[in-house]
Amino acid sequence: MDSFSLPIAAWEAWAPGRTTREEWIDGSSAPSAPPATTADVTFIDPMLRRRLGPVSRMALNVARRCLGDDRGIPMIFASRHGELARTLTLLEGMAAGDEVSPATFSLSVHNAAAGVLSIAHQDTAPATAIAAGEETLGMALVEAAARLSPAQPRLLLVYADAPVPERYQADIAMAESPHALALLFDRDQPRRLQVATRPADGAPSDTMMSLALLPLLTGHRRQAAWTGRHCTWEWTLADA
Amino acid sequence: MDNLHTEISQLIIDTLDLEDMTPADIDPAAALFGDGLGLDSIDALELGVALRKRYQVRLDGDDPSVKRYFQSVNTLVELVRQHSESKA
Repeated sequence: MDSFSLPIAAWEAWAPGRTTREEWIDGSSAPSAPPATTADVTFIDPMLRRRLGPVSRMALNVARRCLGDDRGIPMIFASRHGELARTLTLLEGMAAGDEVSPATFSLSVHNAAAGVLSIAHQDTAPATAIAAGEETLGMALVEAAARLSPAQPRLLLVYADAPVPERYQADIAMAESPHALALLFDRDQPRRLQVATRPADGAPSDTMMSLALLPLLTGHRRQAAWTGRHCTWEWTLADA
Repeated sequence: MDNLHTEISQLIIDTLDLEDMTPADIDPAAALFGDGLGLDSIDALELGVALRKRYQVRLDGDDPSVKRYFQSVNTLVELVRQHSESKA
């Protein structure tokens, strides 16, 4: 078994109908708003935000709420699918012989949200954008553990995903729903998220990894586990 | 403003996702890029694609006159008119 721990300073999450931390803490029932609802990003200039897709909007919403007025904090943006609906639109256009839209392409790339946030905040802190299949959130936690150091004592992890377009749904084993999650790590914080992995020891979970982790953050559970095709991930929240 | 001015202003709004704007909001003489409407280089590319689709105007990025035509709605109208006259 491999394990590491991460010092948690703050978290925020967003889903349609569940747009504040309080709603996540209160709500045990499913969010009620239609899944097409988009996240509020009015903190970004209208000319800059107009081309953002729904996944980037969710990511930027939670990133802003978690950062507040803090700047200069290195960031990890993680998404399994990114703006896949947009990429599919581009591919279908190409297949039909249309010209590729430069604007659609520019914000379909995986680091689009990171780029827009750095422009909106005039913040030159480094950012990475990662995708690692169904274990994307877990690999973002590994990335955070690897980067937290005296040189980078604080880090913001932003995870966002939406269901794949219908054309790809047969390839996805689990139920997907749109949501985003931001975690602020700070080496000075005593509260720890302990992460342990071991070879998968059961049937794969039928929920997204991030939705398995959220009950720890909301205080509904102290311990949770998620199993994918390769690994079982186990999380424990502890006050050191 | 005549029909072509309105048509091109609407094309800019639709193509570039300028939420909550109408053709009347765009001053046909004002700069489209930088200080005026505030469009960026990706908008320029997107607009080039839209003009080609709608009016079959082919633009050469190396041609210095292209930059002049992309100054304002008025100069784009001029570009489209010249193109349709040269075809006629």
